[in-house]
Amino acid sequence: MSKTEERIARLYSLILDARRAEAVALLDEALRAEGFDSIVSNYLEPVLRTIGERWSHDSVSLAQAYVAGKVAEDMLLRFEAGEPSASARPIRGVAVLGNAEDDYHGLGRRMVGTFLRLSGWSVSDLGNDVLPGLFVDEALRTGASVIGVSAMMLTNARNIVAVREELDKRGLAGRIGLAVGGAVFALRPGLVREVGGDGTAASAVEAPALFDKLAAERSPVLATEDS
Amino acid sequence: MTSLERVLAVLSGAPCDRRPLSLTLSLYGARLCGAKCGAYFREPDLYLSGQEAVAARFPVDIVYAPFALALEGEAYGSTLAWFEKAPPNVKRPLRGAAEALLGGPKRPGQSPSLDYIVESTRLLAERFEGEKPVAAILTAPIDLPALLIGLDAWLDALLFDEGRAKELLDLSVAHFVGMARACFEAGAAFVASPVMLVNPKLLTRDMIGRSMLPALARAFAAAAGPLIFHHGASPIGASLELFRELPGVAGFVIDQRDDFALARKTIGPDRVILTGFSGPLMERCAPAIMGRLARRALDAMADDPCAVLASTAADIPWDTPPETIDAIVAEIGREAAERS
Repeated sequence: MSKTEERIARLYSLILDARRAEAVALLDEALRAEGFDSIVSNYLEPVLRTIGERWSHDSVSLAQAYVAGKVAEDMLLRFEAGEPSASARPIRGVAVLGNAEDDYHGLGRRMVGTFLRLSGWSVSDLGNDVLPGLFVDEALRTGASVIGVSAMMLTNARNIVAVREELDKRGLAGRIGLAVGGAVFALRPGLVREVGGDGTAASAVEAPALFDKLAAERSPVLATEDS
Repeated sequence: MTSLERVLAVLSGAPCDRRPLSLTLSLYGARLCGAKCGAYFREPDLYLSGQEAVAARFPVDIVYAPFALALEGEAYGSTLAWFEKAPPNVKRPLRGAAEALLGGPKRPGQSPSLDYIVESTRLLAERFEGEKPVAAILTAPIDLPALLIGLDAWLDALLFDEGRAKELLDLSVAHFVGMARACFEAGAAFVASPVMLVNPKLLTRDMIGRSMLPALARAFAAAAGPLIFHHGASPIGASLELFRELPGVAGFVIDQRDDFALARKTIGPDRVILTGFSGPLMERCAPAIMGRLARRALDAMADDPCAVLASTAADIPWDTPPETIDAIVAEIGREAAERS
């Protein structure tokens, strides 16, 4: 087993055991030796991918995924604080996030935001209880290619229909993707289509792949802005 | 047999004239009595009218007190969001909510929201005395902090601050015990509690065993009455073994996706199992399909004397057609006729 593989295995195990400080210390050690981009692509991304896969098969709990999010957040804070080893990271795209109107369950949304930022997305997080028009206004202001709306309960998930209508009314359906998520979507697979969503992810860890896909499908011009 | 006799028969494993029926129609009562949710979940008299309308329209065997867990959050200062066709919800985690809880558990008499729950229970118990048992519904002590401070802050405490988690759990247990005792004194036959954070999908088995189960055991032992352990919204079959030793549990509401026979084998022959079909999904269910789902559940529990046909998960939605509920009732009648 190479040193990198050993570190990956150790990081995975520390996260599953909720030993956040030790997980961050391990990444800090790698950060000093290899730089920020390396810890993201060589350690965090593979570990998060495994956690995401296992989470969607119920062999990792929400608490463990939450610890993974916290570790990712700790490393992002170092990056945002100007970690000298971090190169100018390419922006994969801009996303607007928020909870549907009347929804106040923000945990999933915040985790999605963390994993998106770690993957190189620029995120504008509007918080809880966001009016449909505000999502679209913010997407236009920031040049977002995807709007992500979260809702935990059925009543509130149905408010996402108004975001769909707002996008269609302004002729933006082909330019801005609508990602939807939250506990209720796992219980009712038909709900994504019912509320006008373009897609959902089985877990917050898998959200970046969904956002990449939606952006590529809808806005190839923005996708080339990476360079 | 009256509903009360039917439920008592099931509790003791004795035969009864038909399979008892439990439908969570707390919210639906507002629709039937033409009340606005904002008044219905504030005025005990109006809540009673709603449940009288439910009992007059459908032959349910258990009457439920308000299913509005957010009201317990309001007692500690949470702001509620009100809806036209749904019970209130906590708007956002309250700044200082942990401190509010750490200031000591609120009791009925100290909060209009808690008074409403207990007074509604009392009115229902008086109205249905000798006829139908009344079940109060309370937030599980291990879930109250999530309601007050938000799930992420509660996870933070559980994962990274054991001392704070223990403090919050101790006070949540005290809150639950105080409320459960008040509801029993008001005449509740049971206290049902949806328990979320014992689900291995949410927490690790280690966290559940180390923190959550001991807190539940303390709360349930001190509640001074029979409890119904409600699955929340997820299947619990795989983890039922963790709960079978909890004190005071008279029955389990299990998810409609759980295997009934396996659940019975896991918890043993004596405790009641309530299950059948998802309450929230009834809104979109055609009567014919609903009838088939009810029949399938009835068949699964056919030889079991301690089972109740029940809606699972959350409340039955406002817009559920009454004909959909009638289809369940018809199936119960058909099954009873076939058995006799």
